[in-house]
Amino acid sequence: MNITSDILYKVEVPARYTGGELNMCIKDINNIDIRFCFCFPDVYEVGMSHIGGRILYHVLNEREDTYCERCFAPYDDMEKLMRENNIHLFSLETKDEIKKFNFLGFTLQYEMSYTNILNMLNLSNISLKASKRDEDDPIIIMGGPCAYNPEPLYDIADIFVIGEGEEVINEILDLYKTFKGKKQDFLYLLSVNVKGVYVPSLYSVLYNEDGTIKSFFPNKKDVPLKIEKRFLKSLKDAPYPSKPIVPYIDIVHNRVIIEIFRGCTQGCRFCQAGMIYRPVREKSKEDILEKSREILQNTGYDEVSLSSLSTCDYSDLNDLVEKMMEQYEDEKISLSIPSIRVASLSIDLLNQIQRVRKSGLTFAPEAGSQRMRDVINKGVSESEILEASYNAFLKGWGTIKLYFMLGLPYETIEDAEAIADLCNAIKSEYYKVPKEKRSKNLKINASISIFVPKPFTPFQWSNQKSQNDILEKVKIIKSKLSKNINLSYHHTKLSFLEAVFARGDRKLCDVLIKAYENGAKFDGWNDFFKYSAWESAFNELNVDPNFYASRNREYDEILPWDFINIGVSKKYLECENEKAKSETLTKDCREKCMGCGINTEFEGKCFDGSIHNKAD
Amino acid sequence: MVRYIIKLTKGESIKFISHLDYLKAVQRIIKRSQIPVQYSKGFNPHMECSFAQPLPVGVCSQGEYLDLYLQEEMDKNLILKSLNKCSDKNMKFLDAKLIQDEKIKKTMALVEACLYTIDLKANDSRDCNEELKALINEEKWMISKKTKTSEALMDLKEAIIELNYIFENEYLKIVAMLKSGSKVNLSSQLVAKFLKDNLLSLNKDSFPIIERIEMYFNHDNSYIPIGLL
Repeated sequence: MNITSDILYKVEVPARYTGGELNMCIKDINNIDIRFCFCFPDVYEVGMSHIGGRILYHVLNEREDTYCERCFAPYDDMEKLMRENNIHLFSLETKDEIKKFNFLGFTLQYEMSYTNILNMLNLSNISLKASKRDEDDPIIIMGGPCAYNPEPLYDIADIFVIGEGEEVINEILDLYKTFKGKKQDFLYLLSVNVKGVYVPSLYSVLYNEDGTIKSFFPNKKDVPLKIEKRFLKSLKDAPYPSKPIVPYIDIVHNRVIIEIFRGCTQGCRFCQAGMIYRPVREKSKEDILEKSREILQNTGYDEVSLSSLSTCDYSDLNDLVEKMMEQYEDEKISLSIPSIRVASLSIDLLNQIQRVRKSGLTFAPEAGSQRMRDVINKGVSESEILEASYNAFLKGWGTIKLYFMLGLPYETIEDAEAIADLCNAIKSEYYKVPKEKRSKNLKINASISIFVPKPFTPFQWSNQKSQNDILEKVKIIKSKLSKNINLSYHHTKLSFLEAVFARGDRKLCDVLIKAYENGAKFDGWNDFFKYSAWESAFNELNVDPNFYASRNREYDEILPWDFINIGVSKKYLECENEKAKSETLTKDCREKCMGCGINTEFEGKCFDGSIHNKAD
Repeated sequence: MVRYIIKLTKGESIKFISHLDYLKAVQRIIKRSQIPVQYSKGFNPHMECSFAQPLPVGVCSQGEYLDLYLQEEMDKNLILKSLNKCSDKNMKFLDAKLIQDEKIKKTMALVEACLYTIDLKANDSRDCNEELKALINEEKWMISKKTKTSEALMDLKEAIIELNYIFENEYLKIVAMLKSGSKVNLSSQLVAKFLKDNLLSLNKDSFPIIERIEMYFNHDNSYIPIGLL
């Protein structure tokens, strides 16, 4: 397909649709057995910033028999032109229609991108429902964090991959290459032979009268009752692209991103990533240095960002940062360290990262009061937060971003008020720094997100607080905040829908399709979010969203995602929830193994590659 | 610190990226090439390089000019070889010229004219030819030129140094030398718009194919390519 200038000049950002970037993979499709399209259900700039997609693109294109291409959700303006001109959704590499591919792989990064998946299928002229598609249609694979509760998408995807895709995908393709026969037979074979693969069409669900699940079971012989998540046992020699694609336009993370470890040991009770990505596995300092050097050479970027869930927990961080800065300073390459834990933000680290360019600083106290931070097991004290803020102001930072969560379980009005108190206290730290040392402009940006209970967290049984309750608390916080502090907070209705779909079941699949038909798409974008489309979808199908979002669940209820084994036991999550109620802290498991189950349930040990290995 | 003037292209397939994104792409090539580029001093160091004139979005070019400062003198061919090795078909480095005379202003202050090809799709070549002949005979080509703050009438003809055309395969192909730079600046897209608005037999939905061919400075009332400085 040829997308001409006559169309491109009419869209806001033509480079979203042109491809041809530096390091894009080019293959002759005549020498290819399997055509795979990696699909990201959001615009190019968001999708191109995603590391998982880069890793899969790299892993798939390492195979001689496979060509992996890319496709992103076309923005509104392009979609309109495509529909007017009868252009089907195409890949960026060959511009071929993605309907012709063998596989489409969608990544599920956030619930509110689901309608974009439907829109992309529709634009490709592919039926939305898996049960309605035929032999010639591509096989649709989904993975990513939201696949840990795949049920709301059970009749959209053919396959879900639970866990780290790079560990599983080759097994799927190897089987596909040798298989001759019907699609449904292939899916069955996959389900029986490849661990971590969930084929929803091979399972049935029965419900109780109150709408909760009565039973969940495979409806064919040898199909596993439980799906075990897959993960790389070690990050040593783990695949990571050294020649990532360099977009021509500015994307969300337009820099070298180097993953330093996976998993997290902090055990914050609201955090899904902290549970599902266990065990912690580190890359060695030498590998990181070598890889980042290679990527810099192959891209020409002038910034490197270290990526992980909690950078400061990397066991050799100080030395890594120092070595990087030694190499980079003369080349004017700057280093950014996101996800810094306040407690470990030392003056030394601040000095290191500002050697070339000073990047922004973000703290995530998550809650305002100490009591609440204990409830969520965020192991940071007020004095640590204030000390870190003072140090940052002393080192000349003037802009600080603060992340909080509102509507957490067991939260009181006083806990909400404490968010304002903490912001005000941080502001006072600025004025304690002598005038000549501190930055002239003070800007504190407090961002409040609304708590969404997620599967596989200690709070998975908890309800989401009502929107009125949240708005009331926001109002109180606003009234107590002093000047120079900007407050922003998430859309309550959007967070509500997120809570519905995060812990939803199969009954939501039709709601999703209905909402899409009612005009929902790009729900995560404020300009597009149309709550009425969802409201009428729930009404039309007689599904009560509060059943999913606003109800406290009992420990003995069968949860829609219970058939997935992430290695962390349900008992452990339950115990953590009880500790939350009593405001009891759980230690970082680097200090002492807390028995979550990950190192006994599966092969593979905690802290692979770490230089401390304290838990061993 | 040594100054070079570099001539390079902006390929058809990246014509829709903005000037800033193009600059960044060029800077990444420079970075990959590891030539000893000069950085500004100060808090937020940036590469010492600047373009003669930004190219509008949607226009490609065979002749963009870049002032580039290196820490030390380098063989011109080695510079070009290093840059081209790290580039692709969208950005080809054509020439590098060492500028030793410190009195020579930056290229952005030197440019006074640019040469463009402008291809416009015609519904009917013969009609279009008649229309164009009549249009060319008109004394003035008035168009209202909007800026952020004001709107003024402008006679395009005053800023057109030369304009030639042929018809080929349904296309009206124009070669135009336009005044350009800080004194008088006529954009190629404005010329294309004027023609589309005034020649009824041109295809209105078709996007004009415009390429910048060369940039010139003025020396004793003649226009000389920047590369011949």
